[in-house]
Parts: sequence; structure tokens; C-alpha cells
Amino acid sequence: MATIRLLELLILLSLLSGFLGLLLRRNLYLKVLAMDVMGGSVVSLFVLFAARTGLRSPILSNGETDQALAAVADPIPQAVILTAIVIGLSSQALLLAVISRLSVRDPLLDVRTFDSEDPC
Amino acid sequence: MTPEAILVSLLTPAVVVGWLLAPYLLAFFGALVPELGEWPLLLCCLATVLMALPSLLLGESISLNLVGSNGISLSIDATAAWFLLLNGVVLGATRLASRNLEGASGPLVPAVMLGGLNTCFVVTDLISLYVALEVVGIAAFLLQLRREAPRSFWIALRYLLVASTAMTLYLIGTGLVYVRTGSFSMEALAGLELGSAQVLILLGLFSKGGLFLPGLWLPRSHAAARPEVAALHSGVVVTAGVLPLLRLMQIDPGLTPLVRWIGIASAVLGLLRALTETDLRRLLAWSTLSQMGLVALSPMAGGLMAFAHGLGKALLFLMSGGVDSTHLNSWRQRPLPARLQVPLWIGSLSIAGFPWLIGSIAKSELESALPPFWAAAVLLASIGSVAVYARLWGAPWCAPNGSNKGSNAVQSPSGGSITLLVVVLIGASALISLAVAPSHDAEKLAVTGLIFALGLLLDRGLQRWRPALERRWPDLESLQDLIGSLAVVGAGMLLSLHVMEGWG
Repeated sequence: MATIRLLELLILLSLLSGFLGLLLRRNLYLKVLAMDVMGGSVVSLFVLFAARTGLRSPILSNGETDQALAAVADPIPQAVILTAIVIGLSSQALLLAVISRLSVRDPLLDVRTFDSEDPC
Repeated sequence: MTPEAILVSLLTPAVVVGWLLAPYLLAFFGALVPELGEWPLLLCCLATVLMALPSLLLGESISLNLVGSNGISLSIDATAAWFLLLNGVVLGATRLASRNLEGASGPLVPAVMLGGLNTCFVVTDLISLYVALEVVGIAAFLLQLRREAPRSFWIALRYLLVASTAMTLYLIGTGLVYVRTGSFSMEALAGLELGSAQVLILLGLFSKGGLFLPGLWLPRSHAAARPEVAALHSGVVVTAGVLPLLRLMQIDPGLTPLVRWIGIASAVLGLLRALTETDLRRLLAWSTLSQMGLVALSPMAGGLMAFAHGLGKALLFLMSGGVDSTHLNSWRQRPLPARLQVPLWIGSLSIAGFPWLIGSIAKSELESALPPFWAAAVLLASIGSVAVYARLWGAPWCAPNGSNKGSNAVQSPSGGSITLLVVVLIGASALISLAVAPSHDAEKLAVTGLIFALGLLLDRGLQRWRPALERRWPDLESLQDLIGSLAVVGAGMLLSLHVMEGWG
């Protein structure tokens, strides 16, 4: 149980560092990378949640006993997070595509340049 | 068999799933065969309207559970039906509007948007909701991009960055719910002690629904979008975050105080900013922020409130595409033709709560569904709404085709869309008046008259101070503030939960 707590703590720390990076970095590209760190830690959090019941991949083969089944990882969080990974990937792709367009206007990609311009 | 039973029995799982899937398939095949054009999407909008009617007319709610115990559960109840109806009408109208607009997007992204919003409104588990909200977010991002305006790239990027961050937090919340209850369904929240899981979920929904500080991305995004896109976003897309809030409040009444305080804070903030705003589109966007706050107050009346607001706001945003200049300081000097004045007056009077229009019926339903303290707050907020829109009523009328032949005439949306929205708004007002039979007694009319008089007075009184006040507002809309506000509001909610626990 202590290992799981320790892993949980590490994941939360990486989540926090991602959030702080997103908040404090001025460079847009680094902001998007920080968001990816956050996304990655959420994925590991779900994998950790799935591992509470056991570490074996949840794939059945013929002739399994109930005892072996008891130590299988929970398949539901794993299945769910797969969707989130795909969504995260596509948002990242879109963000990076737009950033490459924005880099024409400010190659340093400083957030303040874009925020200070007049709306519309 | 009664006609009601026959109608409900027609809505088999296959029909409902087919209706949900159709827009996505349409987007896919529309990309392969562009000749399909606009009509299939308009048919999908019609199907969405038809899907909402059984619940609204008969009060029947349809719930389905697909693929077993860990499967997906769908529910079309009376609250969701209002949102579906709104989605069908406003998306259809904006498609009609974009037919003769230069540079408007094709039907593909709006088709995905229709499907995503429909899914958001009917799912009752947290993960399907997450996926649907992300689909809606990405479609909204794509609709905001405008090739002719480089600035729109930044606005859209900012929206997607904030929305993705908020949804990441939401996902952590759902993970915590699963660990504690073993289920992803919204009902699982009912037995769960209030804590960080709910706070994270609420944060995601607040940000998506344009509520209070996490929703401050909204004014700039909606003001910078094309008029027909802004109409869709302000009318329907923001409600995708609000309906789940209403569902959660119904399931777990413990969340009600938290959501209500955020809702009323959002209403007040939106009103104060709208009162001092000098740009028409930003005024409309701030008003959306404040109205969403009111929608989130009560699960019982929220559906009708969102429907009334969505119709009015879509009309106003479509109208804003036809004016020469959106600057409000010279609004009283520029005459507007009747084809812009009619939607302006009907839309704004409805949102301000003029008797016999749908907005006032929704507001009185809301007041009767709330405890006295909150009802009084809504009453005060409606004085502010009148004052906000009173500034738009000062434009003089001019003859049709009089002044509006300037460069912006191309951007003016087609009459078909505005006519459709006006007809639906007035038709719905009449139908609901017949069904609910609101009592327009002398006392109630006097209160409304007083609200309008006070609102007009407030507008007059503010005229001198407006420029000074506008400069005083802190700018909370930069990207850093938006991301920081997620942390601040989240920490604030956790703190208030602890304080409430200490008192309880």
C-alpha cells in the first residue's frame, strides 16, 4: 500500500509542476508542453487507480481460475483513459498547428505580445 | 393505446442512437461527398427538435441504458429537452444565416458540433460527458478560426488551452469519483461526501459553461467570432457546461449552495462589466456570462431560462453582423433599418424580461422555483439586465435599405435565419403562455414596470461615469489570469466546503 501512496504523491507532484509551468511560463510552446505534462500525469493517475486491484493485464485466457482473476488490474479506468489520450493528442496537434501560425507574428511566442493587442 | 404511449414507444434505442450518430456520419460523408450540401444537416436539426418534443409536450422522460451495467446511460428528460430544442433551432438558424455570408464555414464542423451538443445534453455519466465536451470544445475552436483575421488564431488558441486545462482537472475529479464509488455515473455522486472530486468536476463545468472567473475566456472569444458563430456559441455552446451542473444539483443537493453562489457571482460580474462596456459584441458576451449564472441557479427552471436566453442572444448576435460599427458611444446617432431593429428589440426585450415574452415567463418560473433570498437576488439582477439593454434601444429607426449599404452589408446575415428565430421566439412565448397561463395581475405588472423604470434610470445615471468606470476594471482576461483563476476558484471552493463543514 505504501508504494501506491508514494506513486500517488509523485504523480500529484508532476501534475502540479505541469500546472505551474502552464501558469508561469511566458512562452506559448512551453505552455503547451506543460499542458502535456499535466495530461501525462492524469493518464498515469488512472493507470495507478486501475492497479489497485492487481498488476496483471486484464486479459482472460482459457482455464483461468478465480484466484488468478482476483489479481487482475481493473480494466475500466484503463479503457476510459485510452479515449482521453486520443483527445489529448488531437488537442495538442491543433494547438501546435495554431502556434506555428502565430510564430509568424512573434517568433518568441511571448504570451504578453498576443494578450496586449486590441481585441477583434 | 393512447397517442402518448405510441409516441414514446416509437423512440426505441435504435432510433435514439441513430439520431445521436447521424450528425457525425454526416460530417464524415460530407467530407467525402461535398455535393451532399446543407440539407442533411438541416434535417438533423429538425430531428433534434422533434426528439425534444415528446418530453416537453407529454412530460415523459426517456432513459436508455446501452451495453449493460458499465455501459452508457442516456436520458431525455424535461430539462434536457429544452436544451435539445434550443440546439436544433439555433444551429439550424445559424446554418441558414451562413448560406449567404462570405467566408462562412461549410457544414462539416457544425455537424460535429450538433452531434457533440446533443450527446452532452443526453448522457448521464461523467466519462461520456467528458468526451462530448471535448468534441464540442474542439469544434468550437475550429469554428472560431477566421482566415481573414489573424487575431482570431490567438483567441481560439486561448480558448482551447483554457478549456483543455479545465477538462484535465475534470478528468482527475472523475478518477477520484471512480476510486471512491466504483462507478462513473453521475448518480454515484449522490452518496459521496463533498470534497476535492466534486470541486474538480465543478471547475471543469464552470469553465465550459462560462461561469464566474473560470468562464472569463468568454467575452473576448464571443466578441471576436463571426456573428453567426458567436450566435451559436453564446446561444447554445456555453449551455453544454451548464446542463450537467443542473443534473448534478438534482442528484446531489449538497452541491446547490456552491453552484448558486458561483452562479450569482457570475450574474453580478457579467452585469457590472456589461453596464460599462462600450462595444456591442462585448456587451452581448458579458450579458451571456451573467445570464448563464442565472440559468445555473435552479435545476427546475434552468432549462426554460437557457432556452429563452439562447433564442434572444442568437437573434442579437446575428443582428450585430449587420450594423456598421459596434461602438456603443455613437449608437444613438446611427439609424438602423427595421430588419435590424426588429430582432434587436424582440431579442433584448425578451432577455430583459418584458411581459408576455418568453424571457419574462422563464424569469418568473425561476423566481418561483427559488427560496426568497435568491428570488430577490434574481429580481435585482433583472434591473441590471434592463439597464444593460436600455442602451441598445436608443438607436433611431430609418427606412429599409436606407443607410446600410456600407462595406459591412455583405456580413449581414440573411433574413431567413432572423425570421425563423423571431417566429420561434414569439411562437414559443405564445405556446408557453397558453400552457403555463402566467397570471399577469396588476401587482406583477407593477413590479415589472418598476424594474424597467429603475433599469432605465440606472442607465441614465451611469452615462456620465461610464468612461471612468470602464478604465478602473482590472483586466482579468489574459491567459495567465484565466489559468490562475482555475486554481483560485478551486481553492476557494475547497476552503468554503471546509468552512461550511465547520459550521454544520
